[in-house]
Amino acid sequence: MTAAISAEHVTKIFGSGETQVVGLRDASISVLPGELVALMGPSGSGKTTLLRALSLIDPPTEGRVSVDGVAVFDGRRLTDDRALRRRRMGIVFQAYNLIPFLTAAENVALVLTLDGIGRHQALDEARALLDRLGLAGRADTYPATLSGGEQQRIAVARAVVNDPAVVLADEPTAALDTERGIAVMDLLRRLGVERRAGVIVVTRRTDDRGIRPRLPYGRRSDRSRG
Amino acid sequence: MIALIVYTMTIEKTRDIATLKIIGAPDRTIGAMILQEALALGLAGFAVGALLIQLTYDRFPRRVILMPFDQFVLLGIVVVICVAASGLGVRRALGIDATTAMGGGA
Ligand SMILES: Nc1ncnc2c1ncn2[C@@H]1O[C@H](COP(=O)(O)OP(=O)(O)O)[C@@H](O)[C@H]1O
Ligand SMILES: [Mg+2]
Repeated sequence: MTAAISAEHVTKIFGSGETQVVGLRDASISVLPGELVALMGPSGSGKTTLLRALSLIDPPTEGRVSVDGVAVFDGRRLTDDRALRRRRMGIVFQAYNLIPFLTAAENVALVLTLDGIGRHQALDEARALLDRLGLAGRADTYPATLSGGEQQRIAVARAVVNDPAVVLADEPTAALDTERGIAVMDLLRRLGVERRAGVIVVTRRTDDRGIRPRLPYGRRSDRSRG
Repeated sequence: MIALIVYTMTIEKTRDIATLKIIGAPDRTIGAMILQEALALGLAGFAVGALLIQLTYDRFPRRVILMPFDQFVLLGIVVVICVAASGLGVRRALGIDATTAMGGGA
């Protein structure tokens, strides 16, 4: 089976010379469609750096990244990174990052309209998805009036609505209590399986059920002495 | 004036713009959103102005003759000003670092 995402020997160095910081050194990871990988490690070990590198938000200094078997980075960007993210990736943030001036349904639909789907069809699809997630009653609500757990479940809907190959989530449960955190993790797992997406979740929780922690990458990052 | 307001709005929305970049919004979409906001602002200003003129029209000691044609010209000028004004905001928005929205607590 082709990996949803695979990365080899990814290194990220910030700055140069005296002030140079190694954010991540020689990381390799491969995730199959429908698989969920929990990325764990102490603060500063490079988890966020890895997700930013894989999504080309902040591309690696060295290494190779492929999405669904297609090389997207091999020392240089091989594709338009925004198009890559809106078509092939879903991103979930710690702070939900819903757009405050759009309703829940509009937030989810936005991803589809960005990719050229008509507004009405996009809203219909968004509503149908929210409905299936038990969030139908929230579809026309603005994010500010929703609880954190609800906002994050809507953010997960936004991340999967475009049927991405990959979902990347950076500490999506960190701001939630245990119960709501578990609900969000369950949703990520369920939708990942359903939509055949490879899911990478950074989490510090040890109480998330059913997670198979995997020692994600080779050596931990460290600070270079310049 | 409009330029300043648009620029300030752009700064306030830094996180949202970074989020849009992360979910894959192209620059042209982000630019269009800002332009739209500038136009809405300018047209609202124009409407308020036109209304005020209507309401106070008779009270001017010296008659100010405002022909419909002048109003169209004025409307055109407002639109041009808005487009120009949003330029600064758009430039600022496109320069926003997307990484600010992911990790780092932003
Ligand atoms: N933009 C940056 N500039 C300089 N150093 C950075 C930057 N981003 C992260 N780092 C450094 O890279 C290392 C890994 O950071 P990060 O990926 O945020 O860790 P984690 O998410 O695992 O807590 C840390 O030493 C951090 O200080
Ligand atoms: Mg982090």
